[in-house]
Amino acid sequence: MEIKNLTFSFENQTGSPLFQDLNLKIAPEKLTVFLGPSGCGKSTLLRIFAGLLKGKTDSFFSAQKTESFVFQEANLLSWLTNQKNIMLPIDLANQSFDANYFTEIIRLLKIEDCLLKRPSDLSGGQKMRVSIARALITKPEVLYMDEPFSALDEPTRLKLQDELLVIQKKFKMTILFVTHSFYEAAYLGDRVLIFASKKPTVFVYDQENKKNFNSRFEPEYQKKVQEISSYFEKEASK
Amino acid sequence: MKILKATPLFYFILFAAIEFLVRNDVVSVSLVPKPSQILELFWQQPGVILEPFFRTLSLAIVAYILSSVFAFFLALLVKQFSLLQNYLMPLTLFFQTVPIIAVAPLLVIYFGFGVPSILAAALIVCFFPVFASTLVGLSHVSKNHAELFQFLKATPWQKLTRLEIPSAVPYILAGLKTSAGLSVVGVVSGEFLAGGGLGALIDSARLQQRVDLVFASLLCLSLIGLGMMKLTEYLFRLIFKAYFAKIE
Repeated sequence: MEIKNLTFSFENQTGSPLFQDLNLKIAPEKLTVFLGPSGCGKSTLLRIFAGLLKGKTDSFFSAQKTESFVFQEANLLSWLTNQKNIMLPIDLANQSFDANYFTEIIRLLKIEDCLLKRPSDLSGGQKMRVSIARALITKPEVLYMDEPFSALDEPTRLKLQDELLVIQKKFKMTILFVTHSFYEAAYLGDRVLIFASKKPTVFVYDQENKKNFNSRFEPEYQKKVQEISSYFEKEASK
Repeated sequence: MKILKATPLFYFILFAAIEFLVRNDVVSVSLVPKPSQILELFWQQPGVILEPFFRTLSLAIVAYILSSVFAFFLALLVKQFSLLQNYLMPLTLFFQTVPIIAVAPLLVIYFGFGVPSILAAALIVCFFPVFASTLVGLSHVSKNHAELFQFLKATPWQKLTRLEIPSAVPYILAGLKTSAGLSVVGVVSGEFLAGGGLGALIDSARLQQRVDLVFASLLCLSLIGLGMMKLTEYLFRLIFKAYFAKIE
């Protein structure tokens, strides 16, 4: 996936556009993190990639791929059971239902007990798991995630980060993941795009061969957090 | 539960107090009838009350169902074509704000004395709450849900049936409950002019200074209102249970 010469501003926005002549290439089958403070445009860029927003000028190159989106809130429909929520994308698209695959993702996300309940009966973490299952049901090659874990408590967030890495490895998906946490970016990202706050320009922190950390106490992980953090501060102060 | 148990007792004491006050001429019998007098009326001349009661009841139910169905589908139509909204909103607001008692004479001129005029009056009164609340409910879809449906490339029909209507359910119920009470108001207003039912009975009782008959009619009207509320809840549960079973 590649975006060339993107210029984007919001409908009522005055002054210089949010993005001007932005060029960006997304590595396939990798987890790319968009990192930056609130309001810097990282979620907007994600939505442009997902086709939910359109730039003024851009040439967007993407092979026809199946895509899914995980929103900041679980965004489940309260009047449906969780199972029906998960099936919503294939219901709307009249796609065939693969029972084995369904069972597999339910097991991976540990939500076997939630299926017949309604979203209101679930905890925040469980709702997010159902939301991720809904995104996975279409067997996406590209997964967009907009700060999906930001509203969760710390233990749940760490657990879901680990599970996401397992899922990504298993299904070999391209993931675009938005966050404002250095720690999350360092832990998840094969590649981290850093958005400086005042002028949203994208800088890339790239690591050739990302190693999955065994624990968050590893010195290498701490080092990566520091590197990203100092990189971010340096670019933001320019 | 405690409140429920206490309610009949409260009303028993209230009616006993009224009976006591009227019997001892503290309150004039020409202003407030004795509760026993109303009971006697129901007992000795049931036809005088029951026949108009059933007439008013049936007209209220018919008007309520007709206007609710019409208002709901018109709201769906208006939601799809915003241009239609610009044209129709002033008209619906006119019917909402103008007192029905002022329009009723016109209805009698158009439809004559009898059922059509009464139904028309009730339809006008019942229409607006369901129409407005459905329209508001359909437009009150959460932004996040709308974005989800946009991403999933849902068709306009899927968006309406899977997202907008289910989101509007609490609003529709509120509108239906308001309309349920108003249907009685509409029918009685129509009956005052077009004749028949409890409306006409109250009107003739007024001329004869029969407060017992007026009070008995009021009691019946409140019973109809209560019944309409129950009917709403029952029908609503029935319809939406079937609806949700279908989209699930």
